[in-house]
Amino acid sequence: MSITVRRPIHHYSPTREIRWRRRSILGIILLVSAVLQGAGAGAGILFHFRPDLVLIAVVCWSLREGPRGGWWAGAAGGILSDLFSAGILGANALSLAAAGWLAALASRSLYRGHLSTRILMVAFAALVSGAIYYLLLVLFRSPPAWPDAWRRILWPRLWQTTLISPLWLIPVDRLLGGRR
Amino acid sequence: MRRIVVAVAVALAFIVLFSFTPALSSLLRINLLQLLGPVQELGDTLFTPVGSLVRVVGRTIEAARVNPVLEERAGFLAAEVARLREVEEENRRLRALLGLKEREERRGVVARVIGRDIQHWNQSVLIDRGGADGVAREAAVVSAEGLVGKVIEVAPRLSRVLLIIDPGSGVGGVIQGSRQTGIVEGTPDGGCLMKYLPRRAEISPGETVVTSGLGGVYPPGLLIGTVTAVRPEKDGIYQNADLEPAARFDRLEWVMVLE
Repeated sequence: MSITVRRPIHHYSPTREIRWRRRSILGIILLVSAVLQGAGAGAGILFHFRPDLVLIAVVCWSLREGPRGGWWAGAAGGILSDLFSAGILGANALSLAAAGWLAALASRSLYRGHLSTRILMVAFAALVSGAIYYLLLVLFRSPPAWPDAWRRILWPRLWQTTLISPLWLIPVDRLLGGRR
Repeated sequence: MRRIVVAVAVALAFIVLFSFTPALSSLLRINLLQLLGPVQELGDTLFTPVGSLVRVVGRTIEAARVNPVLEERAGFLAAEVARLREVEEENRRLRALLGLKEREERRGVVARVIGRDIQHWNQSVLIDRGGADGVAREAAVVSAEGLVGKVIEVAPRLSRVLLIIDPGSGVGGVIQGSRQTGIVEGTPDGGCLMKYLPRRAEISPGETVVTSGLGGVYPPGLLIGTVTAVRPEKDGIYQNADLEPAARFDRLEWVMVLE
């Protein structure tokens, strides 16, 4: 007597469902981050204070999901940033994807559960993404001189994003389902 | 690792494509963004009351500080207005004598600013009017205070305006007093710099800069800003002037897209 076991083609997987639910939440968080950034400054509240909320969400995801997840979250967040910005289309996608990937790699030997590690990684990712964006500007457009770019763009973005990161990391972490 | 290299190569290929086809990337970006338009408007609607509250507090504090100075200036300005009315009248008579056409009143589309550029690298705003409302690419945009920028991307119900404080922006300007012309460019810190002014030209802080009309994008006579400092170029034949833009970019709410 032989027994044939047939594997169903589409079987229900709770892990898969949870993964997709989390990805959808990340998508909403990235969209809300981009809209908040644009609308907040548009309302004249924070004209010179422009923290990168999208970057914070990307770092939060990359520390949970690892380099590959960080890369794709960065690419998705970067595409949104590209839509809400007048720069080179795709430049933010590449710089944020690389920042998400590198942040996950750099934090491998660190205790990622602690808030200070996450803040440190946000600062690292802001630095990396800013440097890559500058490099892309050198390749495809005429960027401002490096000292000017550092003093007036990269440094303000770095400290503003790092300063606001605890306020954005905690709710994003909660929405994504607590620490992993 | 191999996948990452492939992904970087694909991303770079797209960036090369988009940077060499700005019209395509503009079209793609603004039309995709229009799909997110309702979300953007919602965000703006939620933030507007908070922004208004912050502004009211800020303005009250500022008003208490500048009120005595303004009262003193109002007296001087009343005399100046009377003198300018005389000049205007004289100008009208002389124009009639020379047979020149009266300057047309500027018309345009009034739009609300619904979002700002989210990156530090660029200075642009989104407005809630587009091609269906008569907004055209390259149209000049002004606020009540002065020149704001030009339209660079147009969707049916949404447009993006490149501000004059963007480092990639260039406006032909003329200093009202000395009639020296130059190019006004944005600076990375959100200010303006007037370049290519002859080194020997006598320019002093406080002078007003308006659009020259050269280049064809901006009509002549739009207020750009005021000279705050003049610096000669190192080893160059030109000098540069720092400008304080007339438009308040931190309080930009309503603008007019000129026809």
